[in-house]
Amino acid sequence: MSPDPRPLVIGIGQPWRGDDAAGLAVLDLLPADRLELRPHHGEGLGLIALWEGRPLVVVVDAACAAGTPGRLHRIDTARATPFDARLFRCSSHAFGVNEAIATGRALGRMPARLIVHAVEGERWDLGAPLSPAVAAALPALAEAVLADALPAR
Amino acid sequence: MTRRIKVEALARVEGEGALDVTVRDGRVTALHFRIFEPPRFFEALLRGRPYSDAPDITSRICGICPIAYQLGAAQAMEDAFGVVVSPEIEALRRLVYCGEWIESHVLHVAMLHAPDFLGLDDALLMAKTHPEVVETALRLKKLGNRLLEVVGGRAVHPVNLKVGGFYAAPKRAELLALRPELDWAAAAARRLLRTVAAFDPPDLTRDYLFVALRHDRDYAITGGRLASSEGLDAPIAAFPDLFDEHQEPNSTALHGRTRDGRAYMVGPLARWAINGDRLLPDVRAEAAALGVAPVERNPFRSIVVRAAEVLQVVLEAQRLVDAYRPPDPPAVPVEPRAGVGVGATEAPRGLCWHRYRLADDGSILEARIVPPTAQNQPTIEEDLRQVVERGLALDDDALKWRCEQAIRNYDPCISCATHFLRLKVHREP
Repeated sequence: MSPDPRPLVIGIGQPWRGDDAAGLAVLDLLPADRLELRPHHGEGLGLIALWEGRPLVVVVDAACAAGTPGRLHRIDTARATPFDARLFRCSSHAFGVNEAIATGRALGRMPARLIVHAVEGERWDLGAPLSPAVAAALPALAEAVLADALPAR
Repeated sequence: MTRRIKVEALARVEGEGALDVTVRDGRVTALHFRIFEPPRFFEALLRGRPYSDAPDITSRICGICPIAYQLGAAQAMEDAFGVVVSPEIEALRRLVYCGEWIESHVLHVAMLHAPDFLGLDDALLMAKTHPEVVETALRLKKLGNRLLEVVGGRAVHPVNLKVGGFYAAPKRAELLALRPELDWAAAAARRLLRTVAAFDPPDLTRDYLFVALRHDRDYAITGGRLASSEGLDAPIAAFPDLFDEHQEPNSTALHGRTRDGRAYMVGPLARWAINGDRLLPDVRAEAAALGVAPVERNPFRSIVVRAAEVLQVVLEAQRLVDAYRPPDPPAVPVEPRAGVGVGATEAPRGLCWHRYRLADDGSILEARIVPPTAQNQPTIEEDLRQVVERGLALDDDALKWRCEQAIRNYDPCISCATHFLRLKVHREP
């Protein structure tokens, strides 16, 4: 099976855990005809399997509250060394995004380019909707993802 | 003088939870293992929804084992409606479940649990010190992914399973295309088993009450009867008569016990002890040659049994692919009616039981889901009590490590929740 030639956007989240769903919700705002959009639960080995060999991958995830819910972060993994793991301390997974990046680097299984976008979350309760701050940030988050995924648009 | 040990995060356990231990005069006086489990939320969410929504909604309970929830829910509905699926559908369900076992077990064995036995702080170091193990894990995991994609329609949150069978059957050629990778996987799973069988486990042997499904022919995965190491043989509908769940004040999770109040264990060690005669001869021989006993009572050997189960499901997947005939039709027709149905499968972490009560139109009146981790919780606490008492000579860091390792013996899918496990040990000399 030949890989999809479109840039890959991986949205990470749990649909029933408040702001954890932000990475999934943003996929609905992106053009499915020009990007490969993959919802994912964020388990790290699965992420490496998805992204290795791809020219351009953008990962979107919710980040722990760091004071400003809805604030956007952009991490270009080619530049950010060491990767700031603290942002993703509230990941569902013991082997999550941060571990996937570190392991992918150690094994030489990274995409040519990997950019992580994150939005600071506020609430993670089971059954809660997105917080107003995160919901309001989604269009800007989608725009930021597009700027990296389709720079020549 | 009181010594207090505090750990902010217990890593490498899927989900969230906390452990609190108080030690006085060399004895554990209090021990609470708290976990957060979402099935209660999903039970409420399911009420009032059509029966056909249950596989899709329950699959969201756990990102690591969606098939366990989807299939248990589908089987329960089929039971309520008096529907029996064809052997071809049954075989395809087993194949996709093999994919889920491969994915879940390989992640846990190689990335989450092996570092404990190798004296490594985390899986990141694994990639540096044992890159061949991590490479093998990655490739096996990809194969599991691929099985979920081809049969389940998607690797994450599969969409092709439904009450009665599948929305569409994969083509034979699509499955045969996986055959070369399955051949590689058989050799890789043997290597992984050899690697972990050589690990030196901490000493702890307990006389567990093992509980697992038992199938009349196969190593139980997609179904069977309730069985135990004490000779229990009962239909899955009898589960509530035999086992009870009660809420602990410390936890949102329910703790499972037998009706006479005893802790029991579900998962790889239980399956191994109860269904050893249902293993493929090849797996039994390989395990025996590596010193894996027919009944393993040291919980720290669960990593070895998990690896043996990876070999079992890889070899089974080979056979299922070879014998595959697309089910036609891909799903049997379903006619809703009022009633109660039960379903149970062996999730990677152990027995996962479902029961639904349905109205005439097939809408869900009541849902009950008993996941494996809730059942294991009292046993995990009993293990920890012994681990702490035996480990009091260890310094605080080493004791904490040992407790974490003991919890990880159960691969507790504290579920796809968020956050992390906190560990506190209070020592009162």
